[in-house]
Amino acid sequence: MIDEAKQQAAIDYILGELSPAEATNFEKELAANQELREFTKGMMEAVASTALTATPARPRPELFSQIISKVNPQKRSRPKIVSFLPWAVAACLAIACLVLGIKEVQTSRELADLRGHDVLSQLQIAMLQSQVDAYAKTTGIIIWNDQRQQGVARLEHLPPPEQGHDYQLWIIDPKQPVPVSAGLVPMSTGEGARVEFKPVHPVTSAAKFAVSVEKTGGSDTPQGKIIFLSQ
Amino acid sequence: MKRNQGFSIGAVDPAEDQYNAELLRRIALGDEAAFAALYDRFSPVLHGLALRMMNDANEAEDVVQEGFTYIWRRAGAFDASRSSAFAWAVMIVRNKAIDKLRVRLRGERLRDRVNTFPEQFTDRDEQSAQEPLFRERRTEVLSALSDMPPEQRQALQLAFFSGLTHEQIAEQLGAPLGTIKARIRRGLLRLRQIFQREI
Repeated sequence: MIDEAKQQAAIDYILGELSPAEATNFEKELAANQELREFTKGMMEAVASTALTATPARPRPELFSQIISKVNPQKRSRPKIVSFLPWAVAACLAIACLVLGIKEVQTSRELADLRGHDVLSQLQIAMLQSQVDAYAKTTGIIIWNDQRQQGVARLEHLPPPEQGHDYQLWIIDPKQPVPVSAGLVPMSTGEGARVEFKPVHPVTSAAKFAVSVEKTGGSDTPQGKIIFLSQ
Repeated sequence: MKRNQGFSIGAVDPAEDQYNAELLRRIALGDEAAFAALYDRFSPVLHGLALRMMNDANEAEDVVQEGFTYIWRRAGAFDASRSSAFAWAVMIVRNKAIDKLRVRLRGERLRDRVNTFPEQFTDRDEQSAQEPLFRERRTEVLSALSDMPPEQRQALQLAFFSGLTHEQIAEQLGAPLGTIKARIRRGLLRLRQIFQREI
């Protein structure tokens, strides 16, 4: 049983009412007293729940990019143009492709031409093909940098996954027995998704890319239906 | 990893919490997709919290930015035995907001802060209806708060949102410090009790 004084100390600790010395002493007590730890954890949830009485409000979409630039300065300032250029070209290409509905053009020939271009020689560009009718309107493109083992996927007109499911991206490497997970595909605001991805472990050759519908949180190997496969 | 669509109970849903903790584990490894997923889940509530505390859109955005930057950098320090990921994130953003508020409060009359502090606990807004993740939990918290005696609710809300110390709240409300602390404690015990009952 946690007495009133201890309850008060836990609340003061959580709400930041203790002096640094008092907080240190309380933490020592916490470390030694499991009951107090459990009480404090429960109280922490109660305190945090108070935040829910404020009206939720989605921040403006640009804020996340600003945060990413802050936490990952390498992305913000790539001073060498040789480092930046392929991605800039690829990004422009991706946007242009999606806007113009590139899925209908002679993709393989054009992409072969692009791959031959110096700037893009280190990039692999793949169009995602819908494997099920429900996703026929979705267009997707993947840009993969084998050297860096990272890529960008962009899907337009992608409906949100059904409740209890997530979209998951896979890299199919002929030298590996099963597809390699490249992470979940989080939905952006509106219909669509853009994700920068890395495989969970290095791939020798990204022969194909696939997107499947998995149970929420994803799987180590594809368990659900494959809805997109690259050409 | 499992994830449910929203909290089905007032307390922390274990599957939900496990999922959020897993996101933090991945964030600690530098996984930006996990960071984006966590941001997507928590940012509406955390931004709402910052707006409520700061009452200024620009400052609220700064608080959210600082909060998530901290989460990215300190995700490895998250300890699931001490709090849920959600509670951890809320307290980070609250602390960031309080840091800013206390600077601002130096130039603001405390009495004004207390007297003009809005009591907001209605669930009629459209925005919250569009955020399914915490909707049920929010409804339960609002219901619990509305059942509290007004002075208990006021003390609890001032203690959490206003950036004032308990001593300042007591001074401005003209009540003994012990009374204010007791109101806050009873209010929180009540919330905690509701959550525990429903686990």
